Amino acid sequence: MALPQNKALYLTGCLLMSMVLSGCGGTPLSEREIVRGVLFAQQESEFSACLIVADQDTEDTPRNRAVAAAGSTPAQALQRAEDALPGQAYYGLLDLAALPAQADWQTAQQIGTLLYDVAQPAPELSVFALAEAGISGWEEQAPALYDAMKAAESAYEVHCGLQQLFAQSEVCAVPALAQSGYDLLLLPRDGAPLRCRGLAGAQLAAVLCGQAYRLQGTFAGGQAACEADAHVTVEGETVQLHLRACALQALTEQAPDDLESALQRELQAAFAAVYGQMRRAGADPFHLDFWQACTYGPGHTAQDPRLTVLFE
Amino acid sequence: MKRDRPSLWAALTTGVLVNVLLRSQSAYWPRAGVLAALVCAPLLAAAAWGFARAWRAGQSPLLRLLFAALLAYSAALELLHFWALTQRLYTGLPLTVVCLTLLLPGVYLRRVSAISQTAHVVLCLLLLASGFMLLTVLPRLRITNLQTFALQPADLLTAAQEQLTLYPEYLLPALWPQRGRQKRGPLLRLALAALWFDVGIHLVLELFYGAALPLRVDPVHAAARCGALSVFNRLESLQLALWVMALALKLALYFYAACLLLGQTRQQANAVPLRRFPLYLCGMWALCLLLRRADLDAALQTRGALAWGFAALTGMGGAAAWLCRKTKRCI
Amino acid sequence: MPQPLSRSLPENLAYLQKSFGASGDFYAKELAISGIRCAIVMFTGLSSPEKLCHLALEMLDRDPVMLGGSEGLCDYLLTQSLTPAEPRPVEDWQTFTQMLNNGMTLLLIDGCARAVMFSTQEMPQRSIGTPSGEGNMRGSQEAFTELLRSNLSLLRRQFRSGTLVAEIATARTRAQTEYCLCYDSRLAPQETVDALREQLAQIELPVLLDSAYFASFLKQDKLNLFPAAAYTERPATACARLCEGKAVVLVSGCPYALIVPSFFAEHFECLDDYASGAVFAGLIRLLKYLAFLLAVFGPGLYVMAVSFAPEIIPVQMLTKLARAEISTPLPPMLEMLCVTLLLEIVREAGLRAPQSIGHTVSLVGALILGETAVSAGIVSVPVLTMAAAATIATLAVPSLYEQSILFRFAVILLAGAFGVLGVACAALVILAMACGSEPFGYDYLYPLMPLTRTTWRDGFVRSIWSRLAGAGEVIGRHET
Repeated sequence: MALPQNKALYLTGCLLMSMVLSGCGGTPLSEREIVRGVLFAQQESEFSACLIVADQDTEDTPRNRAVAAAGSTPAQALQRAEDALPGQAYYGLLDLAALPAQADWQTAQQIGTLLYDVAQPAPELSVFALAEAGISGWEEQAPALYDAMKAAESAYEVHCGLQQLFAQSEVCAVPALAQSGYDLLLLPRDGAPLRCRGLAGAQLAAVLCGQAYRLQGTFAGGQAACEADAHVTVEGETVQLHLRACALQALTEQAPDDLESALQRELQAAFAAVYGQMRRAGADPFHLDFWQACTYGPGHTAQDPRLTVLFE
Repeated sequence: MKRDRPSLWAALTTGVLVNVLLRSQSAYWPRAGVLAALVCAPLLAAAAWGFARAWRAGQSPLLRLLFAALLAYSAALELLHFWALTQRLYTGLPLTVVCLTLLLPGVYLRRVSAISQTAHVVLCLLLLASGFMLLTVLPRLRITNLQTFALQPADLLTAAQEQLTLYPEYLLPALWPQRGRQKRGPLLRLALAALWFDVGIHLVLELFYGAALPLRVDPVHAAARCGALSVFNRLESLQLALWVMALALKLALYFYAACLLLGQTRQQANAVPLRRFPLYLCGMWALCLLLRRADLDAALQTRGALAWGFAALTGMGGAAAWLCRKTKRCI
Repeated sequence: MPQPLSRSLPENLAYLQKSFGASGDFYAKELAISGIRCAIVMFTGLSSPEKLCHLALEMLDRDPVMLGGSEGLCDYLLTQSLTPAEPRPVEDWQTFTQMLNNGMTLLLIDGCARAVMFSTQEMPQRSIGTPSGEGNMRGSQEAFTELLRSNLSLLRRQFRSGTLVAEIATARTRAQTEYCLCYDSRLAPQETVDALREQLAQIELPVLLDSAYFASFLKQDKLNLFPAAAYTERPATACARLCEGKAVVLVSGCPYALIVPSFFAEHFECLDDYASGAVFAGLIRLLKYLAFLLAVFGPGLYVMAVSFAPEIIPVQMLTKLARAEISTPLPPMLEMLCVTLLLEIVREAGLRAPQSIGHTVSLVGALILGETAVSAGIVSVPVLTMAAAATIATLAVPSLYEQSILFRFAVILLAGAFGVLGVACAALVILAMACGSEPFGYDYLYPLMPLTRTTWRDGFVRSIWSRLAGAGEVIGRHET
C-alpha cells in the first residue's frame, strides 16, 4: 500500500507531465464560427436551416452573415448547414432560434429538442417564428430577419424562452415575426396551430401566456392606439386584465368615442375566440386550469372564463 | 482560530449537496419530495446513527475492508458520473483528465484540518454560487409552471426511493466520532440539509422547466447557463468549476477515510502519508477504466443497495457484539 | 564542555595569538593595574580603544591601590569599581570569543582564570532609515537595520511594556549568528513560544544571513507554498503583531523581522489601514483581495475563456479577441506563458541590474519590447494587457509576490490544458494549500474563514476603531 516517497513524487510528476503533453487544449477562437441565431423554414416536407454567424472580419460594428442548407428533417438541415461553415460551429453565444412560419406543435418540439441536444443553449434563448411571407434567399434575408426579430423582442418586450416550448405538455406559444408588431403562434398538441394577430389577438395572448407585460399597438380597425402595462389575475372564472399607465389615443375622426369600451369589447371578443379554439384542442395556454386547481384542488378546470379589463 | 480536533461536517455537507447539483436527471416532483423528505430524513439519520453505534461496537477487519471497498467503488462512480457529464458538455474530454483534475487536489487535502477548513470555504462558495444561480433564473421562474396533477402513491414511492439513497457521507461519521464542537443531532441535520436542498433545487427546476422537468438532461447545469452578470452572459463555467471543487473535496474525504480504514496508525490519523497518494491516483484511474463501460444508472443503484446492505451487515455485527458482551457480563 | 581560561596571562595571550594573531583587526596590549600584569583584548573594527581608555583605564589609574592580588582586582572591577565593567566575568574561551565578536573589550588578569568585559562597542552601522519595501503614508517611518541591538532598542522604544521579553540566542551556524526571540509574556500563548523557541534552537544552518532562512524550517508541510511566517522592516508593525500575541524573531545582520505565526489575512493589512477611515480601509482591503485574485487567476481565466469557454465573453469582445488571435502564431496558453515569463525577466533584470541601468532595462522591456512584439505580431494586445494587469496586481500584495507568480503559472498551464476543470483543480489546490497551512496549529485563514464576526471586524474589511479597541484580537484566546 505504500511507495517510497521519492518514487511517489516521481510517479506523480511523470503523470502530470504526460497529461499536460497529451494534447489537451481548446479550439482557437479563429476556428470557431460564432453562431448567433438558428433559423428554420419549412417548404412542404423539406426543411432548411440557416445559421446566422458573427462576421469576425468586420473591424468596427458587429455584422452577421448567413449560411444555409436544406434537408428532409431539421436535424439533417442543421447538420448540412454546419458542414457548410468554413470553421467549427460554436453555439455558446446563440441567442435566437426561429421556427418555420407554419410550424405545428410536433415541429416546435422537434426543433427545440434538437437545439437542446446539439447547441446546448441557455434555456432562456429567445424563440420566434418566422413571418408568413416566404423566404426567397437566406443569404440576403437572414441577417435582416435576425435583426428584425431581436428588434421586435426589444420593442414589444415579448420573450419566449426555449424552455417554454416544453413547459406545458399539451400546448406551446411562440411569438412570430409580423409586418407590424408581432403575431403569436399557439401550437396545441392535438389541434391545428392558431396564429393570433394584432393587439387584441397576439399581444393579449402573449400577456395571458406570461410572455409579455405590455400592450402596444392599434385597435378598432387601426383607428385608435393603445399603450399600457398589462398584468393578469384570475378570480374563479374571471380573468382580469389590469391595464396600468394606459394611454389610449384616437388616430382618426372615425374612431369610437369611448375608446376604453371599444378596447374592452375587442379584447373580450378576441379572448373568447382564442380560448374557445384552444379549449376545443384540449389545450390551456393561458394557465386558467392551473388557477382553478390551485383554488379548488387538482382536477378542476375552467368552464366558461370571461375576460374583464380593468383600467387602473 | 486554533483547532485541535477539526470538524468534518462541512465536508460531509458539501459532499451531499454536490450530489444534488450534479444530478443528470431530476428524480421526482417537488410536492412528492416534500412529503417524502419528512419521513426519509429521520430514517436516513436513524440508519446513520445505528450504523455508527454498530460500527463502534462490532467493527472488524473484514468490515473495514468492505467499507474501504465501498468508498473506492463510490469514488469511481462519482468520477465516472462526472465524466459522463463532461462528455455531454465538452465532448472529447478524456477520462484520464477528469481523474487527474479531480484527484490531484488530494495531494494537499491529506490533512484532516485541510479538508475541514477547505470544506468550509467550498461550502460557502457553493451556497453563494447556488444563490447567484437562483437570482439569475429568478425572472424565468413561473408559478404557472407548477404541475397540478394529483399525486399518486407511485410518485411518493419514487421520491422516497430516491431520497433514501444511503450515500457514504452518512456512514463516514462513524469513523471519527466527537470531532470539534458538535451541534445536537448532527446526522439529522446532515440528512435534512441534503434532502431539503434537493427538494429546493427540484422546486426551482419545476418553476423553471414546468412539465419538461423529467425530460431535461443535466437540469441544474442547463439552468446555470442562464447565469449572467452585466455584459457576461453565460457563467455556467464558474458554477461547474465550483462543483468540480466540491467533488474533488468529496473524493479527498473518501481517500482519507479509506486510509483510515486500511490500517492507518493512530499517529497518522490526522494526515494521510504522501507516499500513498500515487497508488490512490493510479488505483482510481484503473478502477474507472475498468468500470467505464458499465451502465452508470444501474451501477449507482447497485451502490445504494450495497451501502444499505453494508449498513445492515454492520448493524448485525454490532448487535451480535453487543449481545456477546451482555451475555459475558451475565455469566 | 567549554575550555576554561588559564590563570597564566602569557598562556592566555599565546592562545589568543594562535587563534587571532593572523587577523589584522585583532588588538592586544599588556599593561599593569595596581602592579598586576593585565592585558586588554579587542577587535579594533568592533570596539574602540579610545572609548576603553576614556571609560575604564583613566578611571583605574585614579583608583587607590587595591589589595587582594589578581582575584581581588577582578572582584573589585566586577563589583566595586565605578568603571563600567559587565557584572559577570568570562570564564571559558567559547564565551570569550563570542564576546570579542560582539565588540566587547576583555581584560585578562595574570593569576586569574576570569576575564572582565567592558562594553566598548563601536561598530560601523547603517543609520536608521525609512522602510524601502513597505510603503506607508502614516505612522512611524523608522526601519530596522542590520544591528541586532539597535533593532531591539527600536522595538523596545515602540513597545514600552515590561512584559516584552527579548531572548537572545546564538543560532547553530558556522558564523555563530545571534538572533532574538521577542514576545509579550502576557499575551503570547506559552505553548506557541515554547514550540518556536525549541524549533529555532534545533535549526542547523551553514550560514544565517536573513530571518527568512528560518521560515522554511517552521513549515509543517514542506510542499506548501504559502509562507509560514511574515516579515516586516517596520518596528511599528512588529510592535502591532506583538500586541496580537505573536512572536517576533530578529536576526543579527538582517533588517527584516520574522513574525510567527502569520496568517493569510496579514498580507492584505498595512499600518495605513488603521490610520485611515474604516470605510476607505475596507475598500482598499477588498481591492487588495481582488488584486490577488486577478494576479493569480486573471491570465488563467483569460486562457480558459478564449480556448474553452468563449461563451462567457461578450460577443463584441470575442470578435476582437479572435482577430487578435489570428495575427499571432502561438496558441493562447503558450502566448500567455511567454509574455508572463518575459515580464518576469524584465522585472528580475530591473531589480538585479545596477541602478544606473535599471531604468534602461525597464524602458527597453516595457516600451520597446512590448511595442515591437505587438507590431511584429508575436504577441497580441489582449494577452499583453492581461499579463501586464496581472503583474501590476501582484504588486498590490508584495508579500505574496512569490506565491502569486508560481500560482499564476500553474493556473495558466492547467487552464490551457484542461479548461474549466483545470482552473477548478488549480483553485482547489491553492485553497487547500492555504487551508492546510497550519502555523503552529492555528488556522492560516483566520479570521477570514470560518465566517464569524471577526471576519467583518478585522478581516475582509475593518471595523471602526471604537469597536476594534474594545476587542483587540489576540491569538489563542478561543479555540474552534
